[in-house]
Amino acid sequence: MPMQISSEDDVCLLSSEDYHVKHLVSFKNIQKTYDGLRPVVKDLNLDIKEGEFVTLLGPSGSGKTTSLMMLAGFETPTHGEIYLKDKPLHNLPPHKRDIGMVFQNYALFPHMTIEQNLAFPLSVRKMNSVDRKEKVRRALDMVKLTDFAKRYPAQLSGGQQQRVALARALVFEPKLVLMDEPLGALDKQLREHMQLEIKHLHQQLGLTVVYVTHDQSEALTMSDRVAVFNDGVIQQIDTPTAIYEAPNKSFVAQFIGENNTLIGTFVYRDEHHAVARLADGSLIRALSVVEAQPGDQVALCIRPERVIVGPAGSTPLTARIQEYIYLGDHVRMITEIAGQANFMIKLPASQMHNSWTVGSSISLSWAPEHIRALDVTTH
Amino acid sequence: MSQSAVINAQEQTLDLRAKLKKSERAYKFKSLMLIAPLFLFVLVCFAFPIGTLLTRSVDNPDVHTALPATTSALTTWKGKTLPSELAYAALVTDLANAKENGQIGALSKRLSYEIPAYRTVISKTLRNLPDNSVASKRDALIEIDSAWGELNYWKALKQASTTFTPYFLLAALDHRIDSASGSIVKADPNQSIYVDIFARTFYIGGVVTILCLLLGFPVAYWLATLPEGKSNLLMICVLLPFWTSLIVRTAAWVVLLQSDGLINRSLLFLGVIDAPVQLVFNRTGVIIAMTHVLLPFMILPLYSVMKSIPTNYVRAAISLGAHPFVAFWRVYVPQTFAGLAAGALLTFILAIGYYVTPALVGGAADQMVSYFVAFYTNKTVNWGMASALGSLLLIATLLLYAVYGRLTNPNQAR
Repeated sequence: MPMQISSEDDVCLLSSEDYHVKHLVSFKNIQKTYDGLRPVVKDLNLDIKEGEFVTLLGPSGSGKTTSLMMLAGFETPTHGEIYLKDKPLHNLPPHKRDIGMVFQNYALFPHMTIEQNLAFPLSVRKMNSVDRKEKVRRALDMVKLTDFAKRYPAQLSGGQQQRVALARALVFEPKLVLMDEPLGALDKQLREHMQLEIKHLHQQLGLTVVYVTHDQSEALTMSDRVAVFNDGVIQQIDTPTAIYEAPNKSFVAQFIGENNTLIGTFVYRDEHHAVARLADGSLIRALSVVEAQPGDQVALCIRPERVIVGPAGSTPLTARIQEYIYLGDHVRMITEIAGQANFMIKLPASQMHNSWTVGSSISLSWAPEHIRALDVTTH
Repeated sequence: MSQSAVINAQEQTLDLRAKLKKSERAYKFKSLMLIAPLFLFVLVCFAFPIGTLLTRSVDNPDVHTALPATTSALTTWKGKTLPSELAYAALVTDLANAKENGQIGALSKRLSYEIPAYRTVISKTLRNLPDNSVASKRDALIEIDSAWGELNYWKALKQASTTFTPYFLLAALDHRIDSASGSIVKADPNQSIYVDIFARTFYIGGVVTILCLLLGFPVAYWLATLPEGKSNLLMICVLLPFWTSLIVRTAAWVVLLQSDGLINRSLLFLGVIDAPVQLVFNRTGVIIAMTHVLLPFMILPLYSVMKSIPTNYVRAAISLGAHPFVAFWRVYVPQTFAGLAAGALLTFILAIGYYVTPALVGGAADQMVSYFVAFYTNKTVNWGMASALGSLLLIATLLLYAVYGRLTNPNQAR
């Protein structure tokens, strides 16, 4: 599918020189299949600017890791070309690409000390031992592991191993760093801490990072842009805010964060809004994103925290509370609306009301820009 | 009040401990009963017989059981002059008894190890054994054979009459105790064969191990990288030799390798050689057949270790700028060391104990230690020599095992 061009890119296009300098990596019409039948990656087009932090986000089997491996050189595209600094990569073996890589489960060499692990990329580059020592020392300093130089990887905790893997991928000063679910094996607290640490390193060192994850909060926290993968296709690529607030596909809306989907029939469009009819006959105005003909099914997507609740009868849209969950700082209500169950509402605890009990009715409303008419997925 | 409460609490803990002990006792008994059959089996059928056989290498019963009185008469003898009349008299009595008890054969054989001429001395003496009427047994015996007047023969007799002897172990290392001086000296060159045999055994074992490693490493690597289904099929091919008996496989090699065999004919047909090459009944045949038989013992440990090495490591090394070969050599190979050591050790230990294959495929100069163990057990019934050679082989194996333990133990757990 064609790439979404953001307004920033439009500005870049004004100067062709800038354009060339700024795109460090370009995937052009990349296809990949292992068995010749089922494409793993279908027509991938993606430009990554220098200094950018781009996350490839998607469920397992969506093609994100395969795309990363093609960039690293461990997989070859079945069709298309990848460019690194405008040079085609297909004839460049992986060890000559000068791309730092952090692997899932770190892949620290178990028979070498931390120091030897960090010195490895320098020694294969035939760097003299004085420079090598200095660089290793600085890299250890950077991840605050100077005291662990003589230990073996197995003697380190998961978080420390992760930091070593990071230092090893950066010690030979690559411009581009790839990370394949590097935080997957860590517990939640450590993962959040490492997210910030990686983000800071990215900013300090001016790195370009391509990051693969299936954890959406990780993607939103760290990235400049997020590419949401599904079925070998980028569904949407944009800033974290846009991905969350303005999803263009039902898949994206459902995959990122919590989302309510109401299925309705498209009736007509007025300017930017689509009007759809729910099963009970009520009409909903939503931001029109999908191309639809009258009579088509559309998915009306809204985030649970964007729903406004009023006393019964205050708006035309009535919902019945099925379940009520108190979570301290906020309240969740699972409601039934127009014959569709599991419509989630999320409210600050301060806005809750005594009369809202299971079985009672409430009236719902929302700002029309917060509900989006999207495609109906089969998922 | 509070005191009684404390006592109560103490009683309760004691009670709890007793209960725990009781419940554990049942569990311990159960586990003991579970291992008991195997333990007894190993003890009765393995540890005990082997232990008994090993003591045979230092056991020295022939002389002191056949000549008990002479042995005790010689205990205080210093060996400076001929023994006393008492010893001669004891010898006469002992020889007469030994003849009656049928111990002469073992006795003269054992004594002939010390001095080969002893055999004729004993038989000559037995034929003319003096009766009780003779006043001086010493003169009479010296009359029968002048050997009884020589210090050497008596020293040899005393040396051979101890309960335990280093004779066989020393002989297996081409050394002996000189009966004249009592010090350890090199054996006669024409009797020094065992060091060469040990060297040959270790050499063949080493060559076979290296060949197995060179042939097995790529196969194990291939097996470990193949997808499940294909690797299972290949694994069956690797294990196939295990399904036929060792003798059948060895005989098959004789058929294949003989001058008129498949290999020679193929080579002749292809024009690689002009005349048949001698491939069997020599060292080449032994090494080919043993390498084939032992290959699975190298492949399996290597495979199991390689299977546990994630592909990530080599990829990581390549991404860090290492040429794939450098990545393989510096990152992959060191991680296979445990399997490599286990495979090499297993192959080597099995190889140095080989008997059937060299016996069938090898020539006279290719027989290894086991052949001589069998030779002494079956042909000459020299248990002492057989178990001395066996013990030395066992010691060599245990030493290797200790080295292996040290090599693979360093605390770099994965």
